[in-house]
Amino acid sequence: MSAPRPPHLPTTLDCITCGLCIPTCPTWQQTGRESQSPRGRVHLMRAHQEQRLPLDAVYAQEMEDCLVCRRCESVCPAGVSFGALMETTREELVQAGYRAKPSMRWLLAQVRHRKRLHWGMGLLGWAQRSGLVRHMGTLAQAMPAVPPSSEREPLPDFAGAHSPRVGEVWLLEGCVMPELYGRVNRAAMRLLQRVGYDVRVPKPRLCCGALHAHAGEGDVARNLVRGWVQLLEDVGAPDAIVSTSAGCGAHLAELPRILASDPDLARRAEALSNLVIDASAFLARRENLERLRPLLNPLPEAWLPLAYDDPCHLCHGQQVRVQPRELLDAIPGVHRVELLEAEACCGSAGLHSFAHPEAARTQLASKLVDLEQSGAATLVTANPGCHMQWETGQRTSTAPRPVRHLMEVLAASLG
Amino acid sequence: MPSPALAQDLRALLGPQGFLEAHPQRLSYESDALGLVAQVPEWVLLPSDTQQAAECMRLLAREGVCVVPRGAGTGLSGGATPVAGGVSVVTTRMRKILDIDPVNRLARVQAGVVNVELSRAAARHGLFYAPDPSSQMACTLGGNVAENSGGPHGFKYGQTSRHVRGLVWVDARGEIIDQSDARLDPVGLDVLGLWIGSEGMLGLVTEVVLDLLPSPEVSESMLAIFGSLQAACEAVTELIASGLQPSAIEILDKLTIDAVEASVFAAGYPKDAEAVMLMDLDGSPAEVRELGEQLETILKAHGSRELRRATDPEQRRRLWAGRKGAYGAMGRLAPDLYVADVVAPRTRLAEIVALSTAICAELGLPCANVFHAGDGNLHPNISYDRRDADQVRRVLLAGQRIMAACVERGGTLTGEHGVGLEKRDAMCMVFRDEDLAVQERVRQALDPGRRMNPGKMLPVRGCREMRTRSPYLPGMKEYDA
Repeated sequence: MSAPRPPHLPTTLDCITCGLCIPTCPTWQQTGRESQSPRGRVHLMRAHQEQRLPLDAVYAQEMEDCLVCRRCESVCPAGVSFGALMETTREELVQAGYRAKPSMRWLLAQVRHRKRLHWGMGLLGWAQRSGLVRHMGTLAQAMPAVPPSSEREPLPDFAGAHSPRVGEVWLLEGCVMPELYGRVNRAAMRLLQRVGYDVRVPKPRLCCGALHAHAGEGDVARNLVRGWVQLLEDVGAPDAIVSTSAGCGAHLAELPRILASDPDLARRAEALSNLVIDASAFLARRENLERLRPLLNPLPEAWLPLAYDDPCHLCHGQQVRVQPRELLDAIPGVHRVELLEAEACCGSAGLHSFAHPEAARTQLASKLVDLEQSGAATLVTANPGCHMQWETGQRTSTAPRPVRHLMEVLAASLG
Repeated sequence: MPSPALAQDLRALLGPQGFLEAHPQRLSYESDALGLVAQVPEWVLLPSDTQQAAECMRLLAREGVCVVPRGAGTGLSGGATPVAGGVSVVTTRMRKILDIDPVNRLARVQAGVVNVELSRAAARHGLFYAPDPSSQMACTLGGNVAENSGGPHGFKYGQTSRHVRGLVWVDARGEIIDQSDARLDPVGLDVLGLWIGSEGMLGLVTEVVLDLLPSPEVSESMLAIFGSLQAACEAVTELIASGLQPSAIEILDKLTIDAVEASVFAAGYPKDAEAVMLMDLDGSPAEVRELGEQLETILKAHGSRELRRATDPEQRRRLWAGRKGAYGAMGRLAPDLYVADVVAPRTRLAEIVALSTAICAELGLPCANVFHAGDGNLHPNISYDRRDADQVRRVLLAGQRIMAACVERGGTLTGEHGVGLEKRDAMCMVFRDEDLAVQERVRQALDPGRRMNPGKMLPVRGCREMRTRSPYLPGMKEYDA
């Protein structure tokens, strides 16, 4: 079902061309090219909308190269919603026939089907263990090691709170998360139970559609949202919907915006958006942190110091910066150091690292230097894409450091 | 129109990353931060060092192609607007800090280094680079040289020209002129003086040698809150007359405060204030303490209802981020913003600020004032929508009238944004044809073909002629019949 076209990018007019965003942009840093900067891209969007610029392959490429890290939004004094503009632009490009590479489209088609993804990952894991993966395509080779199937079990539908019980939350399982980092979701579940929440993982297990929206597959994303809205209305609202993935959280928290073309659905989705919260922000709420703090024990000495790297869609997408640090600092005896550019993108950026492996490697390189200089023994992140990307970087490092999700670190500290 | 053979040679020289010929890529360079004027360049060239830039210029000279140099494109006067049939040569791939010499306190940078990057690098040696235009997060040092940029701290430390010790540039023929040995600075004709502020008409700067200053022992920011803009201006006039020397004195009016406080750079300026004055005090602890007391007395005498002082770096950063993001924050009011850049005698600040607001009101335009009060550099900001032709007409007229009013009262056209395209004809308010002819002769001597940034800064028609044809233009110099 095709939704009506969204209103035609009126927000490009918010940009006053001051240019403060330019140096923060990863693609500009690599190329120095105006059309690879946020201001340049907005300028082209506006030119297109003013019918001075037809869609062509070069325009499509300049838009496609963007990581949608949204760091430009964090420095934009005029408040341009760049991420939203880019999603609308890409949707328009897809509709005009400028579609992503077949391998990316294939990947997008897989992630929203939990069963297919599970089987595919099983197959990939087998290929990795048997060495067959060396004869497969570059996409398969770029994938991280698939954990054994015991670690890829889906989450239970329900896990009861430790007493005293204070409420009920849903845990968003995600798509890649349960397949590659099931332990993160289980850690989050444990933490939530321990601070007094019943944790429900309602069925059907739906994909949030963030990757589809970023890639311009708006119809797919909107259909998934419909599923979510229905689910919420059928099951009844919990106290919060907790996400362990910054990308999913940022997307679901902004539903009314991406649904602007469908006011009825947007209104219904608002209830959903208001409930979605990142696990770090939820656990750092005062009442939760007070219950969590006494449960935390010192971490193994070898893990310290920790460095937290802000996932883009947590710091730029949800303005969650302080909470993860507060949680880490609540661990007794912890030693935490700051990375020089913690808010710069690591190059993962959803499917970007698969679509543009070369650019993603360049992007990661300076982050690896920052990590080295920080002296940290553990890199802490809060998003599966960043997790993968950092692990890729550690594989080629001379002094590899473990990469852990914030939830894993906290759960380890529960003892 | 440059030939395909030339394109081929440039492509071979610069590669696909450095030679842009696709329409969307060129289109993104059609304007700098003055969106009112636009022209798509034939090609865009991004050389990566001096040698490559010189090679580019030699090739372009072969066919007499006009060249518009460009840095980050944050200029507000149209200085980097491309010319029809010409190319833009952009320095954003020349972003290396080549050397920092902490002993002699000198830095050598490529022209495309972003202003704030140099300050960051210098901070590791306990040094800083003083000129800090509000766009310092994005603007390039090469662009700062071309425009002789200032910034809030220009009040104490002076503009870019006070900090440049050497330059390497490429002229229109592709010759490299190396004037970068800091020892040569005082010897011979002051060529650097001629070059700084030449807005790209004398060549393309590729390397800059700059003075770094030792970071002050103590820095403190002070925010004075006023119930009237007039009172804030009068306080500035008096504290300057008393010989006090904070390193920066900035004023933001109510409209500006509202825009800033709604943005990501919200600095905690009180929304019920009519004006805030932001100052920096630096020096030894005793100096800062004494200066603080003296300022306090004057500010209170002029009715400042509250004084906030900050020494914590994070608090200071926040106070200043609000000021520096003010221009962009105006994007919340309307799609476009015209920023005037006049300089007023500091004894008449209040009068000229009130006058600018009145001029805008008469033309039915909103006017927000945010300015470097310390050096009298006013920025009346007029929000508008460039899609409305009549608004554009009124905005330009307001700009012209504000300049004329300022010149009439002993001020001048531009403090730091340059003349570019936007104020080119207004040069006739402050110069006669005979004066401008000298500037034109200097330019001819260094660029006989007049291929470097043609049509900028120097009026293309005589002032006498313009005055005769457009007698309604306010402020044009009088000529004897």
